[in-house]
Amino acid sequence: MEFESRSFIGSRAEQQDHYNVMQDQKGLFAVLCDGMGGRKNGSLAAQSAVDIFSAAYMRRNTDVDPKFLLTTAERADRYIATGIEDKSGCTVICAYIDDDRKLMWVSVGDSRLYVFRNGRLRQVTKDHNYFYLLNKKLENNEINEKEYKAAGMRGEALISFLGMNGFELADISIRPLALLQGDIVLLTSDGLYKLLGDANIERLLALHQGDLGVCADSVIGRVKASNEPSIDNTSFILIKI
Amino acid sequence: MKLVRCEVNSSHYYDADKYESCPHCRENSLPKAESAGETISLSDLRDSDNAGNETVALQDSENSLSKQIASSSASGNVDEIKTMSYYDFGQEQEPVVGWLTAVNTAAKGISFSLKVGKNNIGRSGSGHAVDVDLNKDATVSRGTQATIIYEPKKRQFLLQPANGSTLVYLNDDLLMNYTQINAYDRITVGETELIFIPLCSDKFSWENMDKGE
Repeated sequence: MEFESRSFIGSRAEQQDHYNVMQDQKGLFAVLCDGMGGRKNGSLAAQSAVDIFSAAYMRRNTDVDPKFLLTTAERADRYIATGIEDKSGCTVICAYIDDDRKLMWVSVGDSRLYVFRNGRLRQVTKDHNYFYLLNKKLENNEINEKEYKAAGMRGEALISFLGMNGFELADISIRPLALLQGDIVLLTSDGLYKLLGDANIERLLALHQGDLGVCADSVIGRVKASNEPSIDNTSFILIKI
Repeated sequence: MKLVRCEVNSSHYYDADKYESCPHCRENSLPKAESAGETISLSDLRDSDNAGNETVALQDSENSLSKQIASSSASGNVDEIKTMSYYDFGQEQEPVVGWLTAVNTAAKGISFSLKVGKNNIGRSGSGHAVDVDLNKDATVSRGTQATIIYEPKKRQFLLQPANGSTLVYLNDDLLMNYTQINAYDRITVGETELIFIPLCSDKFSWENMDKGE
């Protein structure tokens, strides 16, 4: 397994994305948190969550499993809610790949986990934003397309994140996902997928998958070269199996 | 031979020494040695006009990954996904923040752990549940007689009276209002005297421990 990570502040005054990757003989542990800009101390919340996940991984006395990942997220949530001044919050996407190429994860918020295989990029986690609720309502015919689109202005607002002191929604792996040699796992903050879109990320990974460093450079290069007047904090981790 | 069950279809079994993953599921049917470096280049595929056959194979593997993701992932309410998981989440042990120790009556020498937030002191039974249960002291009325609150932001412990009919004393003074309590303060409920010992303080907190400070 090899990994690469890249980060770009974009047009923001502060980088509120934080991440860490740790690799040992047993596996690879990656965590990425995106601090919430609308709240004070978003960067501190994200850094704290990364620290809590990293410390939990280093001090664990059990195997990493979904229970470990989710309870660590709950601990980070409590810490951010009670231990940081003012209301602050962050997302988390944390993934662990063991030496048997089994992938497991936890996600709270709208940072994402993807798996790239045979040229195709697949989103693994769901975004816990207002669209999440609207999609459910649309499926159940509680609202129609028009109402969906009208409400969609606020659709990207998070409804679950670390710092709520009891977050409601999460994504976890209920059983490990078996990765194959050549698969690329992507953990990313929303800055990347909102700017480039899945199709462009997929194309760049497919083009440069032979060299993960080149791959990461091309993705971040594409973000930096964007003509958009406002570019969000962008951070991602690529792991090649 | 190492027989394992297929991740995608639980009715499949295969030899893990021979195959990376389930050979019955089409995408993974290459033996180990051949699968290495066999990754299809998508750019080649897309540039090619007659990629028809390969696209079919790609879709198969694509569908299979989607299936894999669908069977591995759970999204939704935290309590619900815990019950969906094969892992036993159970009740996480809440970390102790301090203790009360009884120093007289039949409970002498017994300690009670205090947790973050409210800790109700009293006697259980007749539909009452309390955190610090002085069930050896019949002079304590049933239900909550006093509450110790651990407040994690300022790391302080507060003692406040409850609605119970048993008088509660702090260091021999009748407890009327909430009062901050400190190490080795004596709390008397009925006939039982309790000594308070804090763990969390300026010197220690679980949050900082978790943060690795």
